[in-house]
Amino acid sequence: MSTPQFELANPPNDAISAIQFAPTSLRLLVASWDKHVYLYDTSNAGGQLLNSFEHRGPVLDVCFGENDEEAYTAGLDWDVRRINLTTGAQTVLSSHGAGVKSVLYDRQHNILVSGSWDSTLHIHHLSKPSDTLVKISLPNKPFSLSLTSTRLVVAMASRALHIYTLADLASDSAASSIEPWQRRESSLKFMTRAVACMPNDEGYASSSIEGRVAVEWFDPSTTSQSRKYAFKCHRQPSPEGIDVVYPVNALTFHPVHGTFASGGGDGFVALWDGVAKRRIRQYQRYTTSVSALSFSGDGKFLAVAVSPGFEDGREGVGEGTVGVFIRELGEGEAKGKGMK
Amino acid sequence: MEDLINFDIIETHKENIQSLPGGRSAKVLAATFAPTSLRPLGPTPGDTRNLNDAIREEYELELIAIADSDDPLDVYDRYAKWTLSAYPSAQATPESQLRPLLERATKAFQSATHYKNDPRYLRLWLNYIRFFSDAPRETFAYLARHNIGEGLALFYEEFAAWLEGAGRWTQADEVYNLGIEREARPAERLIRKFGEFQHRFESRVRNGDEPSSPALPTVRPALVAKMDPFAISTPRSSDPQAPRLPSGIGGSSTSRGARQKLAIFSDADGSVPEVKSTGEAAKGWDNIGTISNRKKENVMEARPWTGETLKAGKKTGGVPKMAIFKDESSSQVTNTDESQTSRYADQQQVTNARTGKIERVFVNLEAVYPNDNDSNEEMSFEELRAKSRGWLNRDWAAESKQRIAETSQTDQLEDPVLPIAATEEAAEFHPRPKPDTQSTSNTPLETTIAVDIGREGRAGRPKKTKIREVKGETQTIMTNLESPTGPKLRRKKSAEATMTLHTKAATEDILDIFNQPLRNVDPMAGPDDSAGESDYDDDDDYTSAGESTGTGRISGTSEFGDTEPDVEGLAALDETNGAAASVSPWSDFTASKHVPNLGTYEPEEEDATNGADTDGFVVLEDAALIGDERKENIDLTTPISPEPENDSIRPKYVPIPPEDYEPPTRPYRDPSQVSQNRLPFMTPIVEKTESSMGALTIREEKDYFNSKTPSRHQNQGHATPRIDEELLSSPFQEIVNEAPPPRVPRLKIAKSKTALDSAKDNKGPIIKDAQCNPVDDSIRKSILDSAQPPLSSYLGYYDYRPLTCNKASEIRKFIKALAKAKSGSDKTTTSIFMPPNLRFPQASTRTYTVKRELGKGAFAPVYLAEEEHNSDPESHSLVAIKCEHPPTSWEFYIMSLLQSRLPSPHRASPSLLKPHSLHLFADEGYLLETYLDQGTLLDFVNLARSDPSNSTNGTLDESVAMFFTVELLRTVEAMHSVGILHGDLKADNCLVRLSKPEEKEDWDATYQPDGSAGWASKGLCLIDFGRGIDMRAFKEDVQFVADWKTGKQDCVEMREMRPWTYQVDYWGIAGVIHSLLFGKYIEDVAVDDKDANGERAGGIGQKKKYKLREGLKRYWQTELWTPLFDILLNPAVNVEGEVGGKMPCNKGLKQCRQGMEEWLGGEGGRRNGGLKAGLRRIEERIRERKAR
Repeated sequence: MSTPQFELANPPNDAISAIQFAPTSLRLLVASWDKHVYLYDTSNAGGQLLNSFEHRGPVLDVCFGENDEEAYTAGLDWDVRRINLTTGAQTVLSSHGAGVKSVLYDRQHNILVSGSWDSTLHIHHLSKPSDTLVKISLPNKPFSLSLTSTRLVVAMASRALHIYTLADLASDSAASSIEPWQRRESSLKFMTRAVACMPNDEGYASSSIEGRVAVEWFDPSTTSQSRKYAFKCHRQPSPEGIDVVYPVNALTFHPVHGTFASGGGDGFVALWDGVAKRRIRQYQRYTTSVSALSFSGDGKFLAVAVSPGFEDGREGVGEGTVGVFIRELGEGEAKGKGMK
Repeated sequence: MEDLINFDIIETHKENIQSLPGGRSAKVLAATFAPTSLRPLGPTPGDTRNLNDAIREEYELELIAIADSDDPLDVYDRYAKWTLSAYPSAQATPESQLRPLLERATKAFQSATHYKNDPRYLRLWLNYIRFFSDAPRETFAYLARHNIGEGLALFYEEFAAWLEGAGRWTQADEVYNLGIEREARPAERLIRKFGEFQHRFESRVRNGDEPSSPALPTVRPALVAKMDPFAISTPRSSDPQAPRLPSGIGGSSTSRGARQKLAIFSDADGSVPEVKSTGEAAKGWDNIGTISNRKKENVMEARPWTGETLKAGKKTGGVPKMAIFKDESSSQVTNTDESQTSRYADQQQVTNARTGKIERVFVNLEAVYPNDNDSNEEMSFEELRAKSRGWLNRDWAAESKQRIAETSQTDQLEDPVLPIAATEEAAEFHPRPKPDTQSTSNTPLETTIAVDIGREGRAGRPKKTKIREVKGETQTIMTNLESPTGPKLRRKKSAEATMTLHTKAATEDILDIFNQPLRNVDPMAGPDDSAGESDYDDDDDYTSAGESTGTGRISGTSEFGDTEPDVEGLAALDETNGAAASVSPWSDFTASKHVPNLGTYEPEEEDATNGADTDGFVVLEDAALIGDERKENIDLTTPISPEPENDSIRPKYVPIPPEDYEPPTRPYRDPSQVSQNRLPFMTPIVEKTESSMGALTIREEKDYFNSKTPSRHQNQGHATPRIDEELLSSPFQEIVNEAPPPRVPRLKIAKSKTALDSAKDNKGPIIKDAQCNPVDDSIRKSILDSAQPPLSSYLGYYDYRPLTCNKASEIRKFIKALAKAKSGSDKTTTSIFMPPNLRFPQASTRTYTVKRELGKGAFAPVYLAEEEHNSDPESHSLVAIKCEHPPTSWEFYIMSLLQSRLPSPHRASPSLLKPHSLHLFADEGYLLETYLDQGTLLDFVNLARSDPSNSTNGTLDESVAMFFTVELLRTVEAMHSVGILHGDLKADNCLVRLSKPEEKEDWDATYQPDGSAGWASKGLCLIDFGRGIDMRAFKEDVQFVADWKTGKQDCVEMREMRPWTYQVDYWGIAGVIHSLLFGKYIEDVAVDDKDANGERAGGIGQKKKYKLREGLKRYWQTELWTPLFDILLNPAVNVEGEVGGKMPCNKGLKQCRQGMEEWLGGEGGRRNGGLKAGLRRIEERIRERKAR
């Protein structure tokens, strides 16, 4: 097996904020700080840049919509947009009062959730586009959103975490009556960086800026809660013998095997088996911080977005540092080893 | 006068003689090396040294007085000259101390203007440059910058000569020209030298790659502008050559990107400010520094060996390519800077307590947490980037106004969405024109809509009261990161044990128990005459149930998060199961390290007995309960959610505490925990309602682990996990499959019921259970509730609840500060801390000033306090204050009970600590007790062991040991006779009481058992009745069971899971005596009765006999000790002859005691100089120790 990984040609010109594979095809959306969203076809090595869509400001998140021809973006221009990927037509769905950090589409309920730094969630009922924008105020700025088939997990500043039931969100009830199903506090001591839900709707993993990942379960029963755990990762020894603790920027679950991948500021991507509590593998170090990860819909590919992070409070965009790598996963490569 | 110098003398030494530019005096040299009559072979190094040291001494003296000298340079000049001649090889020999001398000399006058052009001074410099300077050119440049030797031709000549020697011809030329230009004198000589130079210059071999830079670099203004582009925050002087401040948080090593291959040494500004600036021209180059200073990077600083690891063998891993020198001072400077700027800065780099590895957080925490005071303010990286790029504060609403107008024409789809999309603020502050309306006049209308939206949103603020009834309401799961019971405390005791002690098997055992089927008890079975009360109880259950979503566990996981990452694939994570289950403070419980000096005690983890299971169970339980309780304390009126599994229709009440409601924050005084007072954690448990008839009916099942710990069932009911495909792959698979269907937790009968009953019928025991855990909170509560007379009527009982006191943390802080000040031997700081004062509302005339800590333990520390009466500020008396947190009145109750039940005066009364008063607050309880200053028996035993002068090999004199034994026996007998068990007898709960006899009495040398002749004032004093048991509150044939993890300190019955009563104290006595006799903790062995009687007595495990492992010394009074230990270890088989043929074995013990008293009064009292002398020695030793 030669190198099962290739880098996309024509990467964005600036740091990448989000990437997402299309649910059914091998198309990949890449959102970048260079104000563009890029659409690649990654079925061939090297990939092919199909289109790019300019925004008013840096784009912070992107997701596919109902089909592979539709995408939603969120950006620093406060807007949540729908993009028709074939025509390139952009529609503003709503505007927040601050930069929009994340956007998520749920096919089942046909709703779009966007979370902004103005500490609100916007729930867009796409089936009834007339007047059904629901605004949910949050206690803190949302930093990361993640969906399962029934839940929405919102990770916020101050280590707060809300779990909503999608059915509630999708219902017609007014925003006022929508209460989170669970309010939690992060098990990690530092700022939550990313959150990702298990595809089996059982729980979620969250990561912090201080090299740790916590795996927790939704079920509030004591047994389930007792299963939760956290572990250290993405720490590299520096030449001085100091362990440098990097943020864990990206988490994503494998759609088939239920394992998850984490990408850290140290440039490593690791695959973990959350149930067996094992690391399955760790890939070769990338040149710089891993900013986003995405598994393809069939779980055969893993897209790794690499761009200099802003972890140390400094810009560091240089030549060739931004890139998207598509890694083909071997049979069972991301499969958990099971218990012992 | 010798006319000729014998050059032969010099000849033999010439290779040791350093050439000097001005030549050396042969005479001096000859004198130095010449053999004299005394030293025929020439001076030995030692002689020279002595001689030179004497001369140096003189010079040094002269230097001290230099300030008064007219020509201070002269001293240095002569000193240097002498050194050069006295040490012919001055440069090479450190003895000459030439280098430090020159450094001193040159530095001393570097700012003295009048010596700037003094040739002597310049010569000193030149000597320095010639012999020592590592960078002569730099030093010359430095001199030029400071205008030293500016007017002296010598400077230019030397500089040029050096440059010429280095092949820098043009620069040398430049220097000559400069000198001539400046008319350096003697100009003539300079010009001549220049001429010679020019001659050489012409005839030299041309060399192309010659440096052409100016010889004397000037300050280039351009450099000023070149600054670290990343160092935004660092204030930077405009001086390019000032030492650079480390930029950013981590200093130079934090700069962006990957790790740096080579860090550049950089000095901090530490030393610089001290150096005076030497004028405008010298700006930025104030000091050239000494050689050692300039080379410090290469020198390993000497450090003390303590704590250093001596590296041995080969390191397999990657050895750091190059060790970078770092200035100690500079790193300190950076650190302090950081700590000033942000409290997160010190988290930027932390040392892992377990591995000692330093960890540095890559993230710029200062940026992420911009607000020092509010850690809740967080900035994500995206925000930071947006901010740095200027996107963050851009107001798009205003721009979108315009944009919408444009887009609306092109894209009609947008229309229905947009107006609603307007955010509140956007709408309010930037009213948007509706695309389909024509004019701007509709702005007000738009605003109204927006406001309406806003109002709607506001109305929708979660109203707790309303929401609470809604099914499926929000559950709050808090992480217990910072709680007092949280990892913080545990971390202090290196928490390593948590991981290792719980094996997977143990975890499974625990979970097994956890999922055991409940006995089916009808929740409504109990008599229900006080509906409100029982409802309240329901609610209590319910609250804890609803909230026990693993809070304790969560805190645990975060604790667990500290495990080392295992690169090999997180093998460590395998242990998580165990760790997750063992995260509660209880886990430490199994660690043998808390069992003081017990040696080889092994936690019996694999022991799959009920006992072990139960322990595991407790672990889980309490883990959850801690959280419950905490939560409940915080917000009593917010029950969070119904139990998911409980489908019974249950009305929800906001619990309004009844008047007599005690917050369920009483310490669960787990016996084995109390017995190891050093356990660093609190062990709260929720209040448990008393069990009752319902429980009684099933008592026959003899399942005492479930019989008296009601709260356990609460969680068991809803702990049933869902069965799920996903779960099948989990480690809990087996258990899950066996999980019983959820059951409704058994309802507890309201305690008031029992209380009422017992109030009516005070004759009978309060607790009617045949078997129970006597330290159980619910039992205690019901005893307290039904105490006759009521507790509140006791003298000294003050209940201020629900007031809070909130002093405990202050006291703790003070004690900590005190300890720190002491260990730091910094006496001055002690005065900084104001000792905390305690004043109680109902004893406000007295002020208690905490002095120090008497007894450790976070559980209930005992402080020494000075009592000051307001009316009489002169009178100070010392009291011991036991600070219980959370408060409990139990100990006070038992102590008062003892005093009231014992006839007064009783021989044993002085041996029982008297309570002064109890001040109960909602959060803390303060028990004021008599203070005895002589320490515990344990201290005393240790004292004896450590005393080398002790004749008896580190143990006590037998007579002394027996004396205390008798005292102890008498006291315990007295206690037992009034039906009170101490419950926690051990050497550290016995204070030595060797007070002064009453004045009129004379302490007689002969022991008097009745306490006469001064003997009553000698003895001991029992303390800590926190685990006392009032036997009269129970049925006569009550049997106690311990549900805690037992250890060697617990009596055999507890360890073997057999019921017990008085055994606990007998075992305690045996333990105390054992430590007195042997200086060791007690160890027992079971002896088969077959040996003694020829046949097995009783059933299996019924009548096993125990004896001490340690054999009694043959010269001891074995005929006295053996029967005593026999009774103490096997009280149940020694009940013949006792009242009613059952325990307490007062009679048997009394016999033993009397035998001992007799011996003490007779032979024993006279041995080793007599008992009195022995006690005197003890007193003396204790006094000595106190003085130390």
